[in-house]
Amino acid sequence: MANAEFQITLREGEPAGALMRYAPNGVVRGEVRLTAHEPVNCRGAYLRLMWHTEGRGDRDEAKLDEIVLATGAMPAGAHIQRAFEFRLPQMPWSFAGEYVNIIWEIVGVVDLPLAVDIVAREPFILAPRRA
Amino acid sequence: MQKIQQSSRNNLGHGCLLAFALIWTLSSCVMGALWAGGALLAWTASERSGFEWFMLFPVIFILPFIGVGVFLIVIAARPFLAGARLSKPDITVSTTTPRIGDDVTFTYSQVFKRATEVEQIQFKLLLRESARYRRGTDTYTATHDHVVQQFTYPARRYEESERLNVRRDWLIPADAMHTFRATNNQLLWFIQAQIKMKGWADFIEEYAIEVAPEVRA
Repeated sequence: MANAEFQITLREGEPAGALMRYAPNGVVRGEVRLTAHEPVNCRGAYLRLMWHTEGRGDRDEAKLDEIVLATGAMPAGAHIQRAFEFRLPQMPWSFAGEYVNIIWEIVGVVDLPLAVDIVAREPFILAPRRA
Repeated sequence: MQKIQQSSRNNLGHGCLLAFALIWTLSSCVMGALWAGGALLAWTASERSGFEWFMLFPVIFILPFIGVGVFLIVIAARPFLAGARLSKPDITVSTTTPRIGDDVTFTYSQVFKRATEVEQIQFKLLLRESARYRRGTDTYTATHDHVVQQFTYPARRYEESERLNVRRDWLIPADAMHTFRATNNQLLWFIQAQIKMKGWADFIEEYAIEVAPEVRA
């Protein structure tokens, strides 16, 4: 199994519990590091802005934006480090309910052919500042 | 002020159930009549005299099916029965697309067609979570209502042609969620009116409003 590690760090948000909060129509900024500990035969590595639902219902999800971090195979010891920023939409806001939860996250993906992708997730809150 | 209409989902569901119940009951009656008729003909042809218990078997067998049909008709017809005592309400709101933190002025006007003992009148502002999921080949929808605000009016008697007039302000709370629609998951806002009448089916209707993903400045 390919061995690569993601590290996603978010910046400039407002701390809200264990997560960072960002305002609708704002910008989420951060830094991503990807290290290949051994040769990784991948199609590419990507950083995505996504939301999905969790709870009783079947999953809904949307990918709003994507940054290509790398294409093709990565040799052992390959290290990618870069800052990123995504423009956030107006909605949907993050929500935690009885049957429906809306989760926003930055998702790092190493796309492996015929294998389970390497995925790292950094959730955050998309919501306006409440009075 | 803007007029709002009843959310169509309730009537459609009850209409479908009523149609199914009528077809079920009618089919059961026809089957029972044919079977009982056949048994009667067989008994006549056999040239026996006197009462035979086997003649009752088709009737006894089909009775539970007819009972289920009648029960479903009663359940499905209840919302339509309520309309026999109350006119269609006239509802307006100050906005159908309020923002978070907005006040929504709501007026409700309805005429009682007959003198009615009302046990309770209640209006609710609801946020409804609706989650659709599949199990095997079946699809289910689970809902959970958050009652955000409610007004209750006490029991009293309304005379024939008396008009019920209500005017209230709803507040979309500052920490509320906007309306959200996805394929399987939805967060929907409703104003629900419920009138409990003594000895009669409840009148329950819901009116959808769209809460915008904006916060009042």
